[in-house]
Amino acid sequence: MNRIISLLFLVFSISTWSQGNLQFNQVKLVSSQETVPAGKVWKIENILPSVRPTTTSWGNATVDFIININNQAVYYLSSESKGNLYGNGTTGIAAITAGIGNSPLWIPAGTLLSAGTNVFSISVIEFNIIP
Amino acid sequence: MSRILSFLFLIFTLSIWSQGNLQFNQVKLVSTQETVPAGKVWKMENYMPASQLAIDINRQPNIAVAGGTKNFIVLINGNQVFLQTTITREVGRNDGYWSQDGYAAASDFKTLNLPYWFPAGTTVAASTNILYVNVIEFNIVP
Repeated sequence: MNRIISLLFLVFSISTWSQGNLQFNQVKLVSSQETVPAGKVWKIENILPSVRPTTTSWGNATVDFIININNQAVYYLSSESKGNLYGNGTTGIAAITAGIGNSPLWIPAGTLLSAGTNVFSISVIEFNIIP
Repeated sequence: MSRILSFLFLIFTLSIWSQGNLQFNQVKLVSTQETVPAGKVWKMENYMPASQLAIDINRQPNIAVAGGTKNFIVLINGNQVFLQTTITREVGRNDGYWSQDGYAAASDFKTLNLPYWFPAGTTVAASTNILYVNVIEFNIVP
């Protein structure tokens, strides 16, 4: 009996120590505006682009992929490209794709999120905050 | 005796569990200057750019160059920290035919490939071209 009580104490002590942990709740694809619910946090893992990030011609192309946080534009990814001209033809493409997608974004309860320019949807994981 | 042993076991369990742990407290979006509170640490995961990440590379006719340097900066204890810099440049042909396209190049330099950790007392603020700094706050469990 005492061993059982000891075991229960151990389990209880570990479980109470888990306060403040994050618990997986669901995976979401966010397109139109949604609000992070109370008691939750959202982890933005990536975006789903709705257009290709560059042009196929040698001309100039500027493409931005934007998400909206609290109705403000956040530039998640930008690309620039242009052909190099020498004589009468192109000799190559100068191009850059710069973004912040290497690391996740975390947004707290009450934050507004929606897909913006050239973004079909946003890939989100929702966590419960264990009080 | 068994009860005493059970109680001691519980205390022991709690004590070994509590050493040096970090406990999730909240997620923050920092724009204006804030200070990491006592008993907390902040993990800076990422940031949210407020503008295009590269300057237009496209040179206009009869203008020698286009593009430029764009910096994304946060302020840590009032000091500028460059998280990302992009460079784009197009240069007109050096033969008097500036109405034609020239040579273009572009590069992206990013320093925030891993998170930064800030101790209590550190001040953090978004600065050039950054809307929010994305932070996770942890309690330091004594």
